[in-house]
Amino acid sequence: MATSNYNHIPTYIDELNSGDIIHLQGTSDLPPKWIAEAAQELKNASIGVEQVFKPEANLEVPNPEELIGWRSVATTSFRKEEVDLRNAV
Amino acid sequence: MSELLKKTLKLLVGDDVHLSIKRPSKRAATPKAKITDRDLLREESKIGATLFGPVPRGRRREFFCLDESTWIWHEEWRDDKNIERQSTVRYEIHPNGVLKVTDGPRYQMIEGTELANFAEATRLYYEQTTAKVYRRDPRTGVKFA
Repeated sequence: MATSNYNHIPTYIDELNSGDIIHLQGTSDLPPKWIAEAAQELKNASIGVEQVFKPEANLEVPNPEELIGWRSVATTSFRKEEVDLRNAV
Repeated sequence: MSELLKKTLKLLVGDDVHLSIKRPSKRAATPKAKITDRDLLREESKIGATLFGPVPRGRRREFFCLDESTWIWHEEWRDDKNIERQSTVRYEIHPNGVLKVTDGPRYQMIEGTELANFAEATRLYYEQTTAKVYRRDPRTGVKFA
């Protein structure tokens, strides 16, 4: 049985052969969408997915855009405005 | 080297590697150089580098907001054998989590204490760069009078 984890999925898929069965581990902190996409990609390659481990756990993570994202959006905006402002003088 | 890393290094260091030091002429009045995103990003990063405590001697640290959804941690040092080492961590803000991309590349969504620490670092970064670099009130975003 082939075993993978989230750190290796992007490259590991290329090393698998049709008919292999992959046992996904440690995916609890990956977005469910990614797990679904990885599982679909494996299925398309006729590779069986034996287990997907608790993908719903990620739903407990606070909304990162509310927590952090607005700060990077604001900072980037200030940066652009500052360039325009200083260069206009 | 990834395109993002190249972009990051270019923002920090620039592509003018061969610098020559010239004494400024007193006669010729040179036009004031235009400020760029990169200049401001450097100013931000100086503040960002201090948010995690003092940088150990011989180390170079950068922490900055690269764009609207990306934060960069970069550190350079020499190991016990005096070999240059460096590490770059990219944090990507996604609607469903913060993705940490480290050398390899390795991908991991951060959570728990690490997520809380990262959020705190971005809070301090935002507050300090907004006030010190952009002379704005961090609460309102309005320019100081």
